[in-house]
Amino acid sequence: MTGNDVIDIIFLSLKIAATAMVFSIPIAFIVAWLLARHEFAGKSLVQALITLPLVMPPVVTGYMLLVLFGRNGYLGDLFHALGIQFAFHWTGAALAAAIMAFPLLVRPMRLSIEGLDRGLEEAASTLGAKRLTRFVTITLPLVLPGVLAGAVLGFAKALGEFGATITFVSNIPGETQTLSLAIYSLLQSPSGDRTVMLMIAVSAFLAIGSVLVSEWIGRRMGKWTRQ
Amino acid sequence: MPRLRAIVFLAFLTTFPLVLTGFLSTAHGADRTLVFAAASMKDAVESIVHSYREKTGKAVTVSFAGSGTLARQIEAGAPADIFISANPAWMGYLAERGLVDPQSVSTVAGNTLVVVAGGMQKNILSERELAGRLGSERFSMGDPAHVPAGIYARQALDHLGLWRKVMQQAAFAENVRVALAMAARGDVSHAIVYGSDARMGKNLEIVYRFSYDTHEPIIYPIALTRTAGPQAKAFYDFFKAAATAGELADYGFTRPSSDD
Repeated sequence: MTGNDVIDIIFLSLKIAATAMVFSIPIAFIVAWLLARHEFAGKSLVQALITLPLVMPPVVTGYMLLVLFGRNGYLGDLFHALGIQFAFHWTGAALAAAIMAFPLLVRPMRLSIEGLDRGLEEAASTLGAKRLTRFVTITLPLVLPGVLAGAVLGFAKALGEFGATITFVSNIPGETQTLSLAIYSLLQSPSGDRTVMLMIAVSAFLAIGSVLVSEWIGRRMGKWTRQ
Repeated sequence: MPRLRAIVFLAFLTTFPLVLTGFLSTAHGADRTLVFAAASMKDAVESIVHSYREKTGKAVTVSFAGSGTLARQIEAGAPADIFISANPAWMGYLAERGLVDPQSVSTVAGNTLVVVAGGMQKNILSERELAGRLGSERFSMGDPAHVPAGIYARQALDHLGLWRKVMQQAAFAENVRVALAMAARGDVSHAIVYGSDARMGKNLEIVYRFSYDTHEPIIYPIALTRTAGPQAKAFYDFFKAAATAGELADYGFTRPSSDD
């Protein structure tokens, strides 16, 4: 494995994790909003469903995805008709990463929405601010730390995902082989030691970096909103 | 300054996806040959892929994972052309479902079952010495409930009449590489692993080889999938020829026997 291969693997992993976040953050925000602000039938069921990937073995999540989104699966057929392919494609790796990271996104978002002082929105409303203006100028900036904290944590999780990914989209170099899968492959071979250490260092660096960024954002935002 | 915050937020929201879509363009050739191979054969398969590329200039992509995982993926429509399994049962599973060409199923390698130990000892133990060692010191092996290497290990110990005497000293691992790692770290004094795994453990030596008739044959079948094209067939032929010529022996595998 050459240096270029390693760089390609890192880029593919970043691409997969970033794609997962771009699509899942807005959905997670809506879900967090519904859970924080609304009461509806089956709310606890929805909550349980979202937490599922966090508590189930990742292999099980991966296998369920394979059954649902495989080429012969129900949803796989449907998306195929729409021109979107998940199974054994990097987009599938992004889907697996998004689902595994989803609970980590929703929780901080929900907490920050719940922690929001609704009096501020009402005050804005009495001052004549319309709904959209209120949302954009008051609500969003105040819940932003939660959203960003969730996003960074989710990104780190998506980057490190292994079990669901290898079960759902296999371990295809250049297509679905992310950093974690490449490390797994290298561990199968006695000659892989040096490259493995490099990759482990990269993945630890990315993980620690993400956590630090998330803490920094949290502190920054805390100061900012208190101004 | 609520307005500034809102602007920053909206700017972030709009630019983030834009930046991303910049590097979202990948197209992968559909004409490549894709091999699904058991993870335990990684080095051996890669060396043959390497020599194939040197000879023909054609690249072959290999996805390594557990045989069961790969078989289920092929069942779910994975675009694999060739399947190399560490276990005839999973090949049979696909053959029964018409997902591999039954004519193409053939054995490319065999494996042996050995006992490894740490330290400097290089002499091969006798059967009696083996019984003494395993009966008195902790050893590791794959879990005989579900790990193939563990199932073979139990069969072999049973065959030698040792299983009941030594089973209490056995530490069961969730896969054979974990069993090997336990011995390599010195957590146990011996481990029962495949001959092909033994070379993985630095500072471990083979101290006993189970005879091939003490357990079911350990064989690795290859087959073309239902969707394989002519390019895949070329690599399949190349792989079989290389295996027959003994090129997998460097990696601790035995040559396929001539009768299959």
